[in-house]
This record gives sequence, C-alpha cells and structure tokens, in this order.
Amino acid sequence: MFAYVVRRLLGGIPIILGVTLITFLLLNVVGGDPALQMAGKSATEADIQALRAEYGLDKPLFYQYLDYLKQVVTLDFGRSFKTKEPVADMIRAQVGPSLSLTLPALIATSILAVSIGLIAASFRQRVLDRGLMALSVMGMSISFLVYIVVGQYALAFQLRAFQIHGYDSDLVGRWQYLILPIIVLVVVGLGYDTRFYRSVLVEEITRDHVTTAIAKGAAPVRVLTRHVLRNALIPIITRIMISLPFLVTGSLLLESFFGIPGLGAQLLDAIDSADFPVIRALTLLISVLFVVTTVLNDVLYAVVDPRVRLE
Amino acid sequence: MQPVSPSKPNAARRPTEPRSEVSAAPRPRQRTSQRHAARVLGALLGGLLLLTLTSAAPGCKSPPKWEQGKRYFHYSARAKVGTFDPVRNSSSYDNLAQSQVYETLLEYEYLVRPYELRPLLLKEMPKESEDKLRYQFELKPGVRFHDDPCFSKQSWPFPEPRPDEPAGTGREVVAQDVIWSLMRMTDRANSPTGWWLYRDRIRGLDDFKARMDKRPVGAPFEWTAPIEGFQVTGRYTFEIALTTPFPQFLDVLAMGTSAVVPRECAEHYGPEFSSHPVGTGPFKLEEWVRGSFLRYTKNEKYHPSSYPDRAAPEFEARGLLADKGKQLPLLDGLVFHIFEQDQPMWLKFRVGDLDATQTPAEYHDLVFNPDHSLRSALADEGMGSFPLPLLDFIYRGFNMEDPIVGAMGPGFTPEQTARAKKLRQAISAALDTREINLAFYNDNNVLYDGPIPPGLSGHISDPPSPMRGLNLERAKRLLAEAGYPGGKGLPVLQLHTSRGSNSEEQGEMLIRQLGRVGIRIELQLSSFPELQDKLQRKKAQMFGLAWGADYPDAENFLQLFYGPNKTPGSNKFNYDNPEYNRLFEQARVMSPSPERDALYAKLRDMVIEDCPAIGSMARTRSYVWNQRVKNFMPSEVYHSWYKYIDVEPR
Amino acid sequence: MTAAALPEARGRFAQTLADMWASRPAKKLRRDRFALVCLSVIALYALVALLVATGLIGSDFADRIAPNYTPPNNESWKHWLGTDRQGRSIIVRMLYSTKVAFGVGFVSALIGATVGTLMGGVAGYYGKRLDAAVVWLYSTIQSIPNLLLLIALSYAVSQWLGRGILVVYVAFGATFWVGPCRVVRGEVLKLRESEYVQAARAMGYSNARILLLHILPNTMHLVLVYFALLFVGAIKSEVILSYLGLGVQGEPSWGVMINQSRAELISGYYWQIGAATVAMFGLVLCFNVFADALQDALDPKSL
Repeated sequence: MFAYVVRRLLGGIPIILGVTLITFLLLNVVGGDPALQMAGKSATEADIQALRAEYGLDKPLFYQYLDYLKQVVTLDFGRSFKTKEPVADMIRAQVGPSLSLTLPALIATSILAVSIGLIAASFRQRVLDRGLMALSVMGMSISFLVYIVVGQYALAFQLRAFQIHGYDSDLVGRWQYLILPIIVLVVVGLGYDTRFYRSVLVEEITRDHVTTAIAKGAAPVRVLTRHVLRNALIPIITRIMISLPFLVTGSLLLESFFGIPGLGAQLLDAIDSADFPVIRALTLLISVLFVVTTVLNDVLYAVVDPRVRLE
Repeated sequence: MQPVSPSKPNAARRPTEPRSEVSAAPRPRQRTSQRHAARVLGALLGGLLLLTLTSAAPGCKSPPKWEQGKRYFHYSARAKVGTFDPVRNSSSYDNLAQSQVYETLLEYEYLVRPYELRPLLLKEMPKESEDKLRYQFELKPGVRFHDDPCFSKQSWPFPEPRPDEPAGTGREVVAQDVIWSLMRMTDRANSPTGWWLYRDRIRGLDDFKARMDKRPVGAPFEWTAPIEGFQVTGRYTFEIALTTPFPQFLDVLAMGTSAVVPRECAEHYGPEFSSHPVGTGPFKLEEWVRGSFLRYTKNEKYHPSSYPDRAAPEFEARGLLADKGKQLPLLDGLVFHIFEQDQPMWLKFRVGDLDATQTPAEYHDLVFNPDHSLRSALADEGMGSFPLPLLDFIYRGFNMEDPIVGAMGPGFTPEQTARAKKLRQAISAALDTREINLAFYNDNNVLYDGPIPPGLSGHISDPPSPMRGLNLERAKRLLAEAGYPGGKGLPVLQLHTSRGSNSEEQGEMLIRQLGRVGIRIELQLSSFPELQDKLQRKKAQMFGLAWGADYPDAENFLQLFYGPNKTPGSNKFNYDNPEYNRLFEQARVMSPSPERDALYAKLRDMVIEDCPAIGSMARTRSYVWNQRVKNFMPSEVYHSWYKYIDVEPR
Repeated sequence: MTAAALPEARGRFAQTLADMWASRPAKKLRRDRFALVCLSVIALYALVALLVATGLIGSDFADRIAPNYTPPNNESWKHWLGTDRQGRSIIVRMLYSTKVAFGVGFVSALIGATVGTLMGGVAGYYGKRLDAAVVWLYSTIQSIPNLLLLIALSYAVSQWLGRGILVVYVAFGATFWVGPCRVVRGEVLKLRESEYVQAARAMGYSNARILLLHILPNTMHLVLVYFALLFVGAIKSEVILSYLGLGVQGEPSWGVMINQSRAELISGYYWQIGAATVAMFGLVLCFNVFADALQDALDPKSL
C-alpha cells in the first residue's frame, strides 16, 4: 500500500512538470512584460531594463524556465511582482477566506444533492422525481451572475436576511457574511450534482440484490444505507474528491461581489498584472493537490470496496 | 498496469436508469422504503435549513467588538489598495489609504477653494529665495511617529545617543527625516513611482541616483552621502536647492508620495514596510484585509492640530465651521470597505453600513432629480450630497507616430502629416461627447477643449472650439480632405481601452458615432496593465485614457504633450512639436502670473488644433452621505481630510 | 460523379435518413414528447439565429430607437422589451445574441468534440507512448484551474488574433476537448479488443481505416451527448468571459447583456437582465432536456 502510494505520487511528477510548462508558455512566452507594468507611468527605458535584469526577465527563455523549476523544487516563489509580499504569505492569508466559502458549500451541496438524489431515485419515474429533475435542469439554466445579482438584491437588501457584502477576519464573525454567498454557490451547483447522484443511485437501487433485500423484508433504512448508499460511495467520493483541489481558488465572481478576500479575486488580479510568482505558485499548488487527491481517491476506493486491490 | 479503475473526474453523467426494471420492484415494500428515506432525509434537510435560518437571523448582525461604543466612519474605496509605502504609491486608492497614516510637509486647506497650501508637518510656510531656487523649511517640533517595535536602541539612525525612552516609542520627526524620505525615491530597490516628479529638479540628486543605480547588487544605500540640494541646517530646519525654478515644487511636496517616513522602520521591515506603515498621521492602520477592508484607529498622540477656522462662504453656510478649533482627529476610527462592484456598494450604503459613498452612475437617477438636486425622500432621511468636479482629463488619444492617424515627425512627408491631422480633426468632429455624457455620466461631466480641466487656469469650455463635435458636415468634409471620402480607403482604426465598468459600452457608442461618417473602429479591450504595455510599445493607434491631477496646476496636464516626456514617459501620444516644447519650457519655470496664463492658453490651443487628444471631459463625482455624518467635504486632490470628519455614535 | 449517378447518391442519402428515422434510438426519441417540444424550441432559436445570420433581423442592434432606459412598451415590436442605457432596442439585441450563442456554442462544441474524439481515438487505439502522451496532456490541463486557463489562453491568443469571438472559440476549444477525449479513449480501449475490429484487422485494413471507419463511428452516441453538453457549457461560460471583458466584443451576446445590466436592477431597470436571462434560460433548458433524452435514447443498455 505504501509503496503503491509513493509510486502513484511519483507518477504525478510529469503532470506537475506539464503544468509548469504550460504556465511558463502562457506567461513568459506569450504573456505581457511584467517589467513594463512594474515600472509605473513615467518610467525611463533604463528603469525598465533594470527591472528586467532584477527579475531575470532578460535571460534566454530556457534559463527563465530553469529558474522557474528551481522555484518549484525549492517551493520558494519569492515575492509578488505587484505587492512585493512573499507569495507564500499571500496565499496563506487568502486560502482561508476562499475555503471558508467553498468548503461549506461543497459539503452542503453534496449532502443536499445526495439526499435529493436518493428521494428522486426512490420515487423514480413519479411526479416527485420528475419535478425534482425539472427543477434541477431549470436551476442549471440560469447564469451564475444572475443568481448573484438577484440574490444580493432580493435576499440581502430587500428582505434584509443576510449581510450584503463584507468579511471578518474573526472565524465566528465571518459566518454572517458568508452565508449568502454559500447559498448562491450551493444553488448553482445543486442541479448538476443532484442529477448526477440520482442516476448513480437509481442504478444501485434497481440492482437485483436491493430488490431482493426489499422483497425479503429488510428494514428500508438499512437497505438504503447498507445496499444503496454504500455501493454508490465510489462515484460519490470521486465526484467530491475531484472538486477538492479547486476549492482553494475560491470563486472569482462571488468574491468580487461579496468582498471576500480570497484567492479567486487574487488570481484574476495576478493575471491582469502579469504577477508571475503568484500565478506560478497557485497553479503548482493546485496541480499538486490534484495529483494527491487522485491518489487519495484510489486509496479510498480500496477502503470502501474490498474488491479493489492496490498493487 | 491498471489494477485500479482509473478515477474519472468529470466522468460523463452516468447512463440513466434501466426503466424496464422499475415495474419489477414490489410496490408496497418500496413505498415503505420511500417513506423512511423521506423521513430521514427530511430531518437532514430540515437541519440544514434551520442552520441557514439561524445564521441569517438579523440578531447576528451586531457590530463587531472593536466598534462597540466607538465612533467609526465607514467609507467605500473602489479598488484594491496595493501598498502602504509612499514612494511606491501608484493610485489614488493607495493615496487614500496612506494619507491617513503618513503626512507630508504641506497639505491643502480643507474648506478653501481654489486649493491653497498650508503647513502640515511644517511650522510655517517655507521661505522661497528671490531667484526661486532655494527653499527654507522649518518643521513643527514635537511631532512623533506612531509607536512601533521598530524603534529601538539598535535601530537608532542618528550619531547622537538615543534619548532615554522605552523601546517601541515613536521618536520625534527631525529635518534629516525629510531628506531621507526624499532620498528613498532614488533607490531602485524601492520601485519608486514618483521619481519622475523630482527628476532634473534638485541639485545633485540625479547624480546621486545614477551612482546608486550603478552600485553592485547588495551594496548598501548611501544614506549619509552629501547631496548639494539637501542641506540640514538644524534639528528642525533644512534647505532644498533646485536646478531650475519649479513653481509647482511645493505642490509636489504635498503629494502623498513625498510623505515623511522613519528610515529605521523602512530598513527594519524591508519589503514588508509596504504593509507595515509607521507614520505621523491622525490614524494608525489596525487591520488590513486585502480585497475586503482597511481599519484604522485614532492616533491618541497626534500632534496638536486643530479643525480649520477658514472657509469659503458657501462651505461656511453649510455649517462646516461648527467644529473649528477642535483637536484632530474627531473620529475614533475609520473603515474603508473595498468594492469591486457597484451594486453591493450602493446597497450597503442604503442599509446604513456605509456612512458615505460615491453615487455610481447607474444609480444617479435614483438619488438625484433631473436638475441634480437630491430627491426629496432621500433629503428627508437626512442624506447629504456634494457634486465634486474632478481635475480630470478623460480623452481619446492618438499615437502620433502611427502612419495613419499620427504621421508627426521627421519620418513622414508633410503631406502625410497634413492628411493625418485632418483625419484626427474629422474624428473629433464626429465624436459626440454630449451623448456619451448623457448615457454614461448622467450629464454630470464638464465637456471642454484641450487638456486643461475646469478649476485650473487655462481651462476653456465655452464657447466650444470648432474642433469639438458633434459636427457631421465638418467631419465629412475633413475626412474627404484627408483623402478618405466617406471613409473610403481608410483602414479600420484600432481603439484600445482598458476593461472597466462600462468601457465596452462606451466603445460600442463610439463605433456607432464614427460609423455615421464612414470611419470604422475596432474595439480592443484589455486589462489596464496590458493597455499600459501597448502604450509603452507604441502599439496603440487610438486609445481611451484619463489623467487625474497630481497637483492642482495646468502644468501637470500640459506636460503630457511635451516632446521629451515621450513614451515611456507620460506623453503617451508621442506628440513632439518643437514650437510646443519651446513654449512649454518657458512656461514651466514661471510662477503664476497673467503671462504664464497666456502661455498656457497658447499651449492648450496648439493641442486643440492638432488633436492628439480629443473629446475632453472632466467627471463630477456625486458624493452622498447619511445623517450620521458631519463635516463632510470631499476632495480627490488630496486625501488627508478624513481627520476632519465626525459621526454620531451608531 | 456523373449526372446519372447523382439521383442514385441522393437515393442512398435518403435511405440513410430513412434508416436513421426508423432506428430504435430515433423511435425512442420520437416517443418522448417533452424532448420533442424542446427540440422544436431549439429549432425556433436556430431559425432566429439563421434570420440574424442572413441579415434579415437584428443587423440594427446598435441603433438608438428611443430615450435611454425606456421601459417595455407597445410602440413597435422593437420597443416590446424596452431600451438599454444607450436607447438601443433590447429585443433586437436579444434576438441578435441568439446568433452569437449558436456561433459560440456550435463552434466551440465542434472544436472540442472533434479534437477530443480524434485524440481519444488515437490514444485508445494505438496505446503505448501515444496514449501516455494524451493522458498526460489532459491530466495536465485538468489540473489547471479552468478559469485560469481560459483567461491566460485568451490573453495569449489575443496577441495574434486581436480581441473578439475568435479568441472565445480558441479558448473554449482548447479546454473543452478533455471531456470527450477521456470518454472516447475509454470506449475505444474496449472496442479495440472487440471481435469485429479483430476481424477487420485480419482482413488487412489499415489502422487509420479501422479507427476512422469502424471504431470511432461506434463512439458517436457518446460524442453526440457531449456535443450537446459542450454547447450549453459554452453559452454559459461566455457570460463569465464577458464579465471579465474577454468575451464577445463589438456585438451583443446574452453574456454581454447580462454584464452590462448587472448593476441596473436596483434602479428598477429589470428588462435587459430579464430578457437576456430568459432567452438564455430557454435555450439552455431545452438543450439540457434534449441532451438527456438523447442520452436515454442512445444508451445501448436501454435498447
């Protein structure tokens, strides 16, 4: 098992290298020149040259890539071009806000979606099922932006049910600001997840052993948890696991409408201002998380399904 | 080698259920299972709902601990703050944030217009020598930096021993601090943004910078190097010597970028100084959550400084002198909330979470009557408003080195130059700034000619110059004279602007307006840095930009067309007219006088005639505040006026 | 082809159509009333898009027809949904956007599905290094946040192509191929070992021929469903790109309309955001429902 995990993690190295290569191509080769942007509105050519030299932007591309790889290996991305803060500090400060938005949303969406999916699967082909599915599709057909604009205006302003905008560094005080964006995030994702889980659960619920168990008079709750949910765990886990790495980037739109100081807004800022260190660090972080969760996912398979062996 | 089913992110939605089996399930049993499932899940859903409702309960919205019993003023900022290091200050939002903590030698009178300087860290206004080349300054004694751990025996930067004070006590500001603060602008390691204001101005400073630029990496900055133009003459007194007369020099000293900082803190914090301000200002930075808000608390040890007793009559009539003579700051604290979107900003103001804000253009009609007076329902709430004319130059400019729209300079034949000029004039005549003003600025902008905004000498808006649109006849005639009758033969022009709230819509309007005479425009939207990049490379044929005053003098706008300021300098037009350059060099060293005004007018008229920039507009910002707020008189020329504001307790 | 052969070819084409019409998935689809309603709605949208493309309606989307922010009224059909802040007709802009939506949806989905199918097919069929390379490429792309890739790509692409709809196509195409690629690869891995492929190999057909003519056509049911999903995904993502200022430029789209009106709700100007949302809702909803029905009908399990 340990050997397996190590082997798989090592197998992720090409992916991480690929990410660095693509990031490098997009930033250094075809992207803008950060020196011009750092230099300010009345710089001289000498100032710009000096900045290029300072950040190694005047070296041949191959050497710039080597510099980048060195950063990856040492995990030291230096300081942001724009704010001059250490990138690690910036990310540390902003992961929290992003996660406090996306993690509860993922949990709530998953619980709700599995629950509704289970209800729909139990009542499959009936009015309730069709109604729920119709609602899901309708929910999916409205733009994210419309949910935000209308939600903020109608719920937070007209009904005064939530805070409109803001953030609190205190974990408890923060809750009041996060609740509405979390609801928006849940509503946006619910349709997709519900439909997915419903079809997974329908497949399980109609299996022979389930019908047999019901026919034999097993307690219905037991049937649902033992036979249906347990067998559906693999797709459920997979779906949750694959979304985990991307939770750290938060949600660009929500963060900018609700004033949450997360990484989504930061990422856009960084791209806009050619802030290479920040973009590099973030893409690396996510690709590493991606590799790790993929491996973790397969390990979990083995845990929930004894038939799967890790070799 | 695939023992494990490869995990399938985003695996296609599962095949849907086999329907034939549905009827095979024994019905009654299934019903019970359904009921149970429904019950279990019902409880689950109910729990989630309850959680949501309790967190949403209005009772939860109590003010945070730090605000209880305190008078905080909540205000909106519309972009992120980038840095707290004055020499790196690069936007008016940086300026807003820094001006609460840091102070300059001089500031503007709060309630006097036109703007007038008055001493802030100085004891009195500096003395100017006869030849206008030397200034004598005397600091106000007893001004101290905020308490901060960086003040200690080890960090003490002076040769004489440190007075016997506990570590962490903010030390007194002395003359040497001013010199050091200005010297920081010559150190490339600080990425200074304001150096251009001092370039070629102060004796010996440019040579010093050149030497510092050449020093090897890692070599220390020479803080003690003698610089001819900077002379410390006493504990509180110093002199600055200029290379040429610079009538705007004192204005430059009043800019946020010239603020006085403690050298030992800058050294102690290094790059972190950018997020760790230690100033002399009325407020201290308490909390900075980037992208969300900034919170300041009152500096209890603020140097003696009182609410002004001078005011323009119309300000006095508004009751703005009621607090005269009171020690500043009046507030316990200050919160700037950062908004990237207009909707939340406005809603937050309307529920009272913000005490004051700027009215977004979209909501202007909700707030104001067609005659720009406040709607009565809002006036009854106690809301106040003030239309602040900005020293603003919004324009569409041309790259004068572009062969089609510019063609200025030695590389072009006189015929090419003349054609391009006619083309620019035609575009100017086809541009309907009135329509733009109506659709996007609620008819609040001042439309004018040339680069000098209203409020500065040299400004002209009435009568409109013949160059100004809309004049379709003239546009068509000029276009034909330029050799493009009806737009024939004219390639599609590229208009570059930065993405922003409604720049795309404005671009669409421009396309339609110019399309009427046959000029075709393609819109190139990009991020602001990207646009900057294109301008630096002289790749932007036509561009939409704005210039805000660094200081209230027309010279700040006229220098945008001065040849030697060409890209990468501030002259993004690459306009280089020998006659203009000559007159500008004359005018820039002159003190305010009718002769200088005449020169300014001449320079302005050359810009109007040559049309490197067209469609000049100055915005008017509609400030609004709620009934809690007292003494609110906004300005965007300087940002240190929050110390005068007061609010009722919440 | 001689003139005489033409009717014959036409006959063969008609026969193929008739076969398709009579096939089981088609029958199943025809029984699904709801799906048929949705299909006709999509057809209606397509008709509007066609009318716009031919210039019959919507070419005047930039014209000012009434004062700014005129509410919906009955003056002429162009006033039915009111005007925006420049006095332009909302209904005309909404209709015009249908064309843009079809363009963005169709082209991006086509690029995504074609590239994905080919890459997936080649990877699955040839296996070994080629397979490893393709898997590596899509795993890499998948582990970069989608939005980051989209934005960075559209920056990069706009250096050559300038701003505009082409950039949108390329950015979407470059990220959309991953989904179909995975699925097709998996399917081809299965089909590669099937008897009829073995038989084709035994008959000495070239690999390319087997892949293109014998294997890939059998993955079409998956690709078709993906196509529909990508179509919808493109239309929805365009709103976000427009929000970032990277979307369609110089002409309206629903994304552009929603973005331009995102702050207007407070002032009570609901008609622009409402019109764009409803128009998009209709098309996306019908596409989703139809994609579902298509999947049901094509699912071999339910045959």
